[in-house]
Amino acid sequence: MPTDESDERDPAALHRSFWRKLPRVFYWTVGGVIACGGAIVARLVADGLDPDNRYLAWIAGSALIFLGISVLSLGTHANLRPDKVDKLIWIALAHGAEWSG
Amino acid sequence: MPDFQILDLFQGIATLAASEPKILIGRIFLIFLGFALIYLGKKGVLEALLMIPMGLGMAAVNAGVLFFKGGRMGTLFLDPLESQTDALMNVLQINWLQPIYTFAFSNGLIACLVFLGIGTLLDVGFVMQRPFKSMFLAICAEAGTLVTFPLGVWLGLPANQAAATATIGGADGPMVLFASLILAPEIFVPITVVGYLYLGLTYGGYPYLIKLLVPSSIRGMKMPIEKARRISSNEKMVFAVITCVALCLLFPVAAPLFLSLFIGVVVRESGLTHFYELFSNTMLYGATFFLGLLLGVLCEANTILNPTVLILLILGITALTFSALGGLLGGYVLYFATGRKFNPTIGIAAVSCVPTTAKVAQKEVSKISPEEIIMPHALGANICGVITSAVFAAVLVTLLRAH
Repeated sequence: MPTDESDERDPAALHRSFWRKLPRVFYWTVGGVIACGGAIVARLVADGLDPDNRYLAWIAGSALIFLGISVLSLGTHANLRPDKVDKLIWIALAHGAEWSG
Repeated sequence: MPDFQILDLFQGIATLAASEPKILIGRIFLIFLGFALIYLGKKGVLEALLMIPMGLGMAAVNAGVLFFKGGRMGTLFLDPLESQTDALMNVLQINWLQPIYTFAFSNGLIACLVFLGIGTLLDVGFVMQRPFKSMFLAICAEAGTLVTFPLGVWLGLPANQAAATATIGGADGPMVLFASLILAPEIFVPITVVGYLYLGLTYGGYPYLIKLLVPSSIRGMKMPIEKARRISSNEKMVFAVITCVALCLLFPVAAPLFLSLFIGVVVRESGLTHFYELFSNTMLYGATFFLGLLLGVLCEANTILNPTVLILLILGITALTFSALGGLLGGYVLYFATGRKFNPTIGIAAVSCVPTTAKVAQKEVSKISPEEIIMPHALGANICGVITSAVFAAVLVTLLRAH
């Protein structure tokens, strides 16, 4: 079962553009906000529309979710400068595993 | 001595003799169709895991009809039409598959369990490595759903039935079952059976479509080696969690389906070995077995013989053909947009049906260029196809549930 957690750093990442040097959490947050925010806004808009036209809001919402998860995907490990998020998350997971017994 | 007839001993035959001609022919046809499904499953033409239990269930239920009190005919398998609480309590104690049908099938649980198992098999890293291309192809490969819905309405189906049938274009069996249970419970059996039959045939039919539409010079093209980005388990979990929550926010009616899929992904990536083993083996195959068996048992002549079945057969094949065409068209768009650096054959992998269509794409490319590996691209499109199919099904369900 896949649990790849290599912390190998790509030296080339240090020479990449500003956007690619941003921490992963930035991409996760922006992607999450676009996806979840888009979904919430689309639902609110859909609720205010005539039932026959609601699909337009849903399609727009779906597009925003896709955009959000695409942005989120850009913040991948090898594409960015090193950060400590992996380590922190794994500490949390380790506690979770202990707790679940 | 009471009046005794030899046919009373063989009620399966007696009920055949007592049936009206339409039902008589239908039962005999369905028994032989059951035999054919078992044979084709064993030969590998159709998906054996599903077709063998479905075929035997279909043959057995149509052979095992007997007389009840008052001369009424029925079986001891299950009664899908019973909904009155008191009567349901009775049949739950009589029909051996009724508990599974009532508590796991008619509420979509079994579809969610299969989806959960599928989730544990998905590596969303393939999508994350190339999100835009994967999503573009996956949207193109929903052409079947988009074409089939209006076509179904044009052919005379009510909008809810047309929409349920259109989900076959998403090429995901559990999704078809889930959507049709909500949208068109009156014909969910034929829709799901047609969907699964055609999905089984994609492995046989799609290679011909690829050969027809992608010349061998393009099919065997060398794609430039891309720098594969390594995606960690954390990243995949973040992706799954955000996508699940966002989709549930937008389409609460399909939230059980989204949760099932993405909880499978999260279990896979979180290192919960015991859950992973349970869901990816026992749960997935157990649910698939009962799904096949129940679909077969539901194909009793009295319940399945319906004039709309012919329309469903036409719409099902249309949906899957147009989805494949849409995927290949999307592949061509990327082929030209990238300056002929993208193999359009990958487009067909966006027709969900994990991982069959990805394998088909790789196999067809390997026949021309044995050393060319397109599998990572194909799996990205393939996995994204599952998510997109769920989104399209959710749009249709949300749109037409109230009609």
